[in-house]
Amino acid sequence: MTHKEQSFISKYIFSTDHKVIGKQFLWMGLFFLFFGGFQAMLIRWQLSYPDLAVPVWLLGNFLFEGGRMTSDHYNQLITMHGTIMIFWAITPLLIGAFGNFVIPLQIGAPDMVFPKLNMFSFWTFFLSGVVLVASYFLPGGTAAAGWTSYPPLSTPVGGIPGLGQVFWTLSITLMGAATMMGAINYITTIIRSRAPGMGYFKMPLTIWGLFLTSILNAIFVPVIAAGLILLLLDLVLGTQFFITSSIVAGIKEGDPLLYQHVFWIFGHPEVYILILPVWGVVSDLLSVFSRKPAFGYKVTAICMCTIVALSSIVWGHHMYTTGMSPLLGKAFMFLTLLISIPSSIFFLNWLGTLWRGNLKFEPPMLFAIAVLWVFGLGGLTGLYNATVTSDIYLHDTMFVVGHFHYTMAASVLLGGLAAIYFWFPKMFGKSMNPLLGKLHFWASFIPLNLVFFNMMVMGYAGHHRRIFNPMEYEFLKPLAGLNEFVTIMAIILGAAQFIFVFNFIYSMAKGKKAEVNPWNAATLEWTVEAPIPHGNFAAVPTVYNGPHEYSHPKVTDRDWIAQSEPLPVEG
Amino acid sequence: MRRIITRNWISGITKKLQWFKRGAWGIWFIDPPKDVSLDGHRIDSVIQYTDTVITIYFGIVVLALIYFIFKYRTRPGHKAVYDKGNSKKHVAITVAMGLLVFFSIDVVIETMSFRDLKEAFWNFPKGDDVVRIEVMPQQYEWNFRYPGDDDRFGPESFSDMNSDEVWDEDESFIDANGNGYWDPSDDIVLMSEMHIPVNRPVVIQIAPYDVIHSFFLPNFRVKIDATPGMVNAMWFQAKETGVFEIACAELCGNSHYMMKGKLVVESEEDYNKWLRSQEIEGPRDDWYDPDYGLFHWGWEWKEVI
Amino acid sequence: MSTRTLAVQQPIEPSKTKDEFTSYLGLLIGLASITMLFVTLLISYSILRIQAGYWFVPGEGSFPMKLAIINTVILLGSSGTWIVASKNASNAKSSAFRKWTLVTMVLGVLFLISQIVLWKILITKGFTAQSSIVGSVFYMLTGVHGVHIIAGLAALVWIVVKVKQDNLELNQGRVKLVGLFWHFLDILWICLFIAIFLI
Repeated sequence: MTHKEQSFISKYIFSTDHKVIGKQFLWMGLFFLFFGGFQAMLIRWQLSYPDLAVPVWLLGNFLFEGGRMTSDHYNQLITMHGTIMIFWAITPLLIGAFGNFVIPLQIGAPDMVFPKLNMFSFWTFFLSGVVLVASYFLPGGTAAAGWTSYPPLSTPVGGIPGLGQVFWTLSITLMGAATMMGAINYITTIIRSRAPGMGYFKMPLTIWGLFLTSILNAIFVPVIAAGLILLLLDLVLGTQFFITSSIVAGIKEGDPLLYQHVFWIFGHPEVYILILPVWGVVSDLLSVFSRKPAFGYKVTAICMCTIVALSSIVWGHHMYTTGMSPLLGKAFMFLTLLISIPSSIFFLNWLGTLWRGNLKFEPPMLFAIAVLWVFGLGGLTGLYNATVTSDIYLHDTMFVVGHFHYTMAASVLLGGLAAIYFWFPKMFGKSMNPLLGKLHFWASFIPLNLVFFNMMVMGYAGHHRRIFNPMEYEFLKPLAGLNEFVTIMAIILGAAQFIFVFNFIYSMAKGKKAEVNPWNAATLEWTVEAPIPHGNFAAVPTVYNGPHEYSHPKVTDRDWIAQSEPLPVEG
Repeated sequence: MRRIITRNWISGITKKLQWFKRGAWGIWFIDPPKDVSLDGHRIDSVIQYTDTVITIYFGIVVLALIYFIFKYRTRPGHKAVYDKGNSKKHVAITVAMGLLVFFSIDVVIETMSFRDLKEAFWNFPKGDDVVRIEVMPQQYEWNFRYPGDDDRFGPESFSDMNSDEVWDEDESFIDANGNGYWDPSDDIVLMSEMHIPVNRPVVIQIAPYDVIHSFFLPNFRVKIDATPGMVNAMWFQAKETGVFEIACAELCGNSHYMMKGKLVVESEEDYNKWLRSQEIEGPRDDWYDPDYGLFHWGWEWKEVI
Repeated sequence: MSTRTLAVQQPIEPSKTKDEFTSYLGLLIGLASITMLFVTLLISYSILRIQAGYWFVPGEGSFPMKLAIINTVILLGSSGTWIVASKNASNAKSSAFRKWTLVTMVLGVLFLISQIVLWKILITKGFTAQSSIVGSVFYMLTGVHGVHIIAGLAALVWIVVKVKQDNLELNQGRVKLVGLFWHFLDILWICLFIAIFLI
């Protein structure tokens, strides 16, 4: 099809094409993923070798005077590591990049319904990243009140110097605006632009995941925006929404606890926002590489919807130790534990997909199975935190850190890598090297488990969070060896990612040209050849089948049939 | 340097190998700090039960995974079975398994937890043998206040130096605003170190001076947040004497990591001796500053539910 | 394999293929998000007010209160003038549409200016964002609403430009969308007015 000749700028920079915008999010996400990962290395170094200077190969003498990190630096590191990984790595990678790239292709649409809004969303997001990085150059340093930024610590009362908190608040607000624009686009596109024949229960589960994520985004990101507006006013205008002047109960003006409620009413759905795309992608990938339909597709979709609904009423489990009323604590515990039921069911459906399949262990499959493993483990360890009594002990310890890194970091990272390996041929028209992919897998999977499982061990031993030097405490001195071990494993995990970087860059530049459908997958994106033209499909496809028609008994010459291909008639 | 790393690493691995010796499926192979509290074992039990059941279930999942990976791996002639898993039988089985997980773990730990909260953690002791202490964390210290002989808490006394105070007939004094206080001059106010007697319930009320902190006793398995504008309460009881650590469990600034306190549990005798020997830490003539909030902390004991 | 023939054979610029309902749905989702923002702010207000134990209506009984009512009337008026404008649009009266849209814009700007005047008067009376929690809540709610009114004004400018660029017929859908947004801001203000001044 012809399209007016586009300049470089309108084709690659200010493009309204969802595939280009998806790649722009991909580059931003990967950049911040490595930025955040590097910060993790610094944190690990400090925790295990508190008395040593940060070494040269971790840029110690470049970043810190004499290579010695101070506790201010440490608090900034843990704050920004969390903030960056959640909002500037996972969000752009899973939701921005894959949401944009995959949604129109998988539903048979020519583009998102609001292409200009899409472009605007990316550039707002880019601006938020600029503000965030700029905060590092402030004289007082960047934000240092934790990614949760509880007031009054995050207000002038807390004593954190300079404008770091202000920049932090502004950058997240901008990022939130970008997310809301994206949510509008994704929801409307999925509702309105599905190709004829694609009912809701013929959509790939990836689309279900992205659809539900966007609904949560649309509803709950404004909630944190409200909280951040109030916090920003406390920071710059001298208001006292979250600051109270009396140190004992009496006439209350501001209320720090209000912030915690507002934050976690957003914060809990946020963790589901981050994981839902992965649940969808993994459900689809397990099906593609087991060569059979996703087991219990409808039940899985319904479970995902149920979890989305429940996720909005369980936020109090982050606040059990705040002194809330017993009745409230019990209510939150009960509701949180209810989420086990749909979670177990769709997890079993994952296993059901593998059962009696024809398993092909390509890199995307390895990573998908790994998600099964880490999410299973991570999800089960959530039980300790859901229960009020065990949470009294485990709250604010490394146990929680291990738990959320399993469910959030490990699952999402492995899921994101599965998605990259899977869609790389479609995004770039080249193949990634499978051997390097498998090497990357094992070099990541094993250290990853050794890092985060041991964090839970440390948490159970009482190691609390966000402390610059654990050796200050007698009861933590026995953990020195384990801390060191975790750091070494973390460094190996970090180093292993360079296998991926090399594979990625080399394949983009010199990789073998990929076939149209290297995985023999049934979804619509595999019917078009890369580089995919603007408008995607030469003609609007008609959908006849579901997304997982593998090993269909009526299809005898191969073990798959595309969604847009009608089933052969009985001969 | 390398030797230190290797030695610590090896000791980390040998510790890991010792986990088979631990009870209750010891998946968390390093023990928590010694539990010296009356009710801490309840938390340990809930954790151990959860350990056991999730090890069984995850173990089954791992075995299933290994089995599937081996049995259903692709090889010439092997085909997948076209099964959408949406038959009534399959849905019923998965839902049943989901409910089994829910009832065998969730419902049990919830019941245990509700029971423990009702019987112990939210069941505040009353009576004469309860030790009452007010705790005020600040950046970056713990302040403790014990009631004096009058057994009541009050703000710091400034009766000696300020002529605006008046004593009323009840032998309590009234400040310039006409607010009445009982005699606070006998309160014992300390920093960093908290003493409690063994085998007696201790109720603390906690409110911070500046930002959110959290009072964490690893050896008692309990913690409670201190949020500005609120007074929270928590109770615990020690079964053994000894010296234990108090940690701050909520990020409170750049010296949060150093904000540790000392909890001294001693016999009834020693405790009384210690209490009597404490000087009243009130404001002194030379450095008293009426505008400095830290001199005026303290609140009338709130009646706990 | 057969492909159902659709009205669109050749893929064309996606934005021109979407129908009215699609854009409407998109705006609805955006309005739902803005609603959640204000719901959170209002719930925070409620909690702060209940816990404060004392409250008062800003400028009660004196001139500022009257000014607040005048502002509300101005904004409601602007919704009225917009209704006239959109009726002209559906009757294809392009220049009348432009005139009445400009009147709506002027009223909107007048509302903002008047809000700022209200702020200034209250500040000179000592009622600032820092003086009390009542002040903080007041300036926060009116300020965030004001920012959204600015967005609404931008939408009004946009529709005038778009109608000038293409013609009125192609933009009927967009006129309705701008109206929805502008009326939404108006209704939002009524809710805020009730919450701040009446309850």
